[in-house]
Amino acid sequence: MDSGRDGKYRPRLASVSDGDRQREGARPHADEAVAADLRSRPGRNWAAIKQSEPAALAAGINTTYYKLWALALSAFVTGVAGALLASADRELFSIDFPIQNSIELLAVVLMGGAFALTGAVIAAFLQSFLPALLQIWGVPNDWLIILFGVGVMQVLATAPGGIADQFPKDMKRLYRLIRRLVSRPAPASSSGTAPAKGGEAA
Amino acid sequence: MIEVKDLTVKYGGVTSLDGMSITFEAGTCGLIGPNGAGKTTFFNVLSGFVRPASGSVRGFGDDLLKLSHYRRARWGVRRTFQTEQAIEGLTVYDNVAMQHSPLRGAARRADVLGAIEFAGGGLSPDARVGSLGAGQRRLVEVARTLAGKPRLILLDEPAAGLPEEETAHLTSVIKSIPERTGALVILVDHDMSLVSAVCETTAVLDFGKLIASGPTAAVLRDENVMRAYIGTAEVAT
Repeated sequence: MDSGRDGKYRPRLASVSDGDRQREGARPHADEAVAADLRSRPGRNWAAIKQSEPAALAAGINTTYYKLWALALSAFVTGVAGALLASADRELFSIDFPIQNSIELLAVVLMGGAFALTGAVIAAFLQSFLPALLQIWGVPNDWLIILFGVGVMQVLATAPGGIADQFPKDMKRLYRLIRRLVSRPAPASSSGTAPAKGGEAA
Repeated sequence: MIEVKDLTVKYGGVTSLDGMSITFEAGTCGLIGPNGAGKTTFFNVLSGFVRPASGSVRGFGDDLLKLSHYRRARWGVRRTFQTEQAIEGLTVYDNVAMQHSPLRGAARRADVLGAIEFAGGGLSPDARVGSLGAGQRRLVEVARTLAGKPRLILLDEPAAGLPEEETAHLTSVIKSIPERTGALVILVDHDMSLVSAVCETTAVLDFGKLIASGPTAAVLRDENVMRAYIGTAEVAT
């Protein structure tokens, strides 16, 4: 159990330590606003709505309100991202945002993992570094579209949580397999085998 | 006290509850019946997931049917589900704390921790629910019903699929709920030993109709109940 300085229980998901606040400063950042929401009651309620809307309703959560909140929050974050992009590029044209970009963005988000914050980091890596890597290796860009297509199909079919969810699971499975293989006793040699049932020498 | 009058629920051409009238007094009341008798439908009406075709439900004098489902939870209706609905991605503490509560701050934290402790079964507030076994997940759901100020707790087959030892623990927990919370508990279960152990009174539904109600021991001996629910040979009338 987590205990604060006053000795009271503080649930991990619903708390930000004083030290964290001092380190991060008190500036109102979009990422801080999202993180604060995820750690506190809204995050808990969104998690409940995501898994079981009946359970959320039975617990007294106004699901319509929290869905609208999520929509507003994502619109806010997108707005901030747009403002940052505009200030970096100085000028924006709609032609710079073809529909293919949106599809590609959706694909990398799904592959990275739409349900975890680490998924967003993986998605950013897939979108920014992977094309550059393929270019360095001399692989045609068309392969990237094929790769994303296959990746999305794979995620939708077998790993809805994306790489962020699946990779740790696979690593755990691999670790268990290796441990099992290592701890497996060596096969007994032919001279030392136990006699078969009823096979006692006469 | 919950007063139900002429409650009828229809799904298209199927009448799931047919003019049900019953009063649940304080304590723990059982609601039994064969599959498809309308028990879960009744719970869904009480918790606001199903709108009845006709009838009225009054809880401690308030008209429950006028409230939306989440407002009913805020009024004091708590429920568990036939298929356990603990939230996997959250800790035990957060699963219980997601229940709406009029309490705030330290009182709320103490209430949530108290509910987890009361449910027992070795539940740790910090444990992630996804890592728990079926019995402990059921206990998390039960603990959630105890948080805040519950007035009516609906338990839908809480012991389904649990081994004997865990059912015994759950039985002792359910038995103590009215004393701890003062809430009226309605229990739906097919496990007659659980119903006999915790319910002072029991009602029996069959094809949406109430066929018996009264003290549990007497109801379970009722010939109509045995015929409809337990499946004895036809009783001569």
